[in-house]
Amino acid sequence: MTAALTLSGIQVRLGGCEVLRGLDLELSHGQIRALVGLNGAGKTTALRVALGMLRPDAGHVLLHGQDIWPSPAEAWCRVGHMVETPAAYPELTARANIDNAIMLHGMDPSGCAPRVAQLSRALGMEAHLDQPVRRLSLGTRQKVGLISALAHEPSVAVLDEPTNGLDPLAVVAFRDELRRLAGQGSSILITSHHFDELARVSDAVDVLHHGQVIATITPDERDLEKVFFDTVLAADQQLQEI
Amino acid sequence: MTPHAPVLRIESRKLYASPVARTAACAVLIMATATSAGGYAAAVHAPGTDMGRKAAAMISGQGWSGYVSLAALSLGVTLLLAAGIVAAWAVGREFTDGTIVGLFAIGTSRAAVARAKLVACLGWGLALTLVQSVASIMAGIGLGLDPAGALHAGLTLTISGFCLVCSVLPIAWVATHWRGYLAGIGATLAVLVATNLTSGFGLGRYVPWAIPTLWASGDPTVPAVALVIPLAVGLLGWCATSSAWKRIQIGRS
Repeated sequence: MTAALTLSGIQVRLGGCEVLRGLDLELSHGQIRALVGLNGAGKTTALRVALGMLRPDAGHVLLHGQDIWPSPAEAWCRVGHMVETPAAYPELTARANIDNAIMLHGMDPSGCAPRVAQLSRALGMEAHLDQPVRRLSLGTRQKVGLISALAHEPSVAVLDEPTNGLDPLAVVAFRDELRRLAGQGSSILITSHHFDELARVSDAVDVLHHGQVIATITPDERDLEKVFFDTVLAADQQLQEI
Repeated sequence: MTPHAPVLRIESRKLYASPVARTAACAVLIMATATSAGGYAAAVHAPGTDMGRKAAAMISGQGWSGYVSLAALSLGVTLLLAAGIVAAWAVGREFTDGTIVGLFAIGTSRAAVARAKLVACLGWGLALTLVQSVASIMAGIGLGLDPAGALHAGLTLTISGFCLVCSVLPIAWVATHWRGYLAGIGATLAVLVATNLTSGFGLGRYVPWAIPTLWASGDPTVPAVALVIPLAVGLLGWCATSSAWKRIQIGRS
């Protein structure tokens, strides 16, 4: 069975600096995979490449086995994402922003209304749906971004620091939502700096360091934070010895 | 080449809900109506005053032709500025606000999104031009001009305004290329200054952004066929913006 999302041999140079150096990553169906790394490790660039925002200098990105460069817009209909900041327009209400995101994915907002209601209820957004985004707090804007990314039941979701600014109740609800989606066969790629959160939700954690995946950790019972730092330090030591 | 209907609906909704488009429209309506009606009234009814003498120098005569020349000049300056800012903002805000990331990995091509933005801007400009033309004509009738010539005057102002709105589409490309609305606003100001200076030196007939105003003012050196030039500039802006959006990458210029 082909993977939902495959990045193979991705190389990216930006401003003379090698940001990604032969990155390989495979996201299976129904898998929640996390990408962790220090600042500047290349996480955001990796997500940009995965979503077709940035064309790599070398390597391939396959979405359901199909190369994304060039790919028809229809190939992206079942992808949901929230990268960097929630792409919400301040002059529109939260609901209008969510409806726009649904329409841009080629779906009918009325068909997704029950799902929007369910997500809003779970994340505690119901009271804010008809308010202009400019009046919402950072955490509530984050919820708008998450609902926009997940309302159309994507088969692949790419989420950059999804729990940023969320209250504890919303974090728990969001975690349940990710598990539910994965249980239905959706594949999810997330980045986060919250190791506890990643340990609870992800099936595999890739450690990205200097533009490469240097280890893949299965969270299980292990202390994710300790394993991460041990791995990164070992990689740096190895580099110094060379 | 036609944008998908949902994207057009989204872009129109964004534009019409924005304080930028609303403020720009109000500014055009108030300033263009006040300056054209006030200027004409001063020129005709108070020719001995400073303002009357200055306004009289700007109109080609009394009656609708004189009034339209002044209204076209007011509309030309205010609409060029307003439409340029709105086009720069509609496109450049996606980069400035970081919302451009939401326009990737969606079921709609970015070129279609760009075209929808341009259509929304053109629709806004046409609607504004129509309302402004009606307002100018009503003011003209209120100043005692013969209603019989009102339709021709209104059509002249509308055509001139729409050509101007089309001619600012390259601003959208500038905002795309330099990734933000400030570049587009800067380009709009540059176009406005260059247009005014060249027109002042009598070279306006060679400048796409001056042609609609000169034609509406009845300048004999600018025939109706010259309106093709601002329309062609608009087409160039349309194609360049659409093509630039197709090739956009985040993190790489």
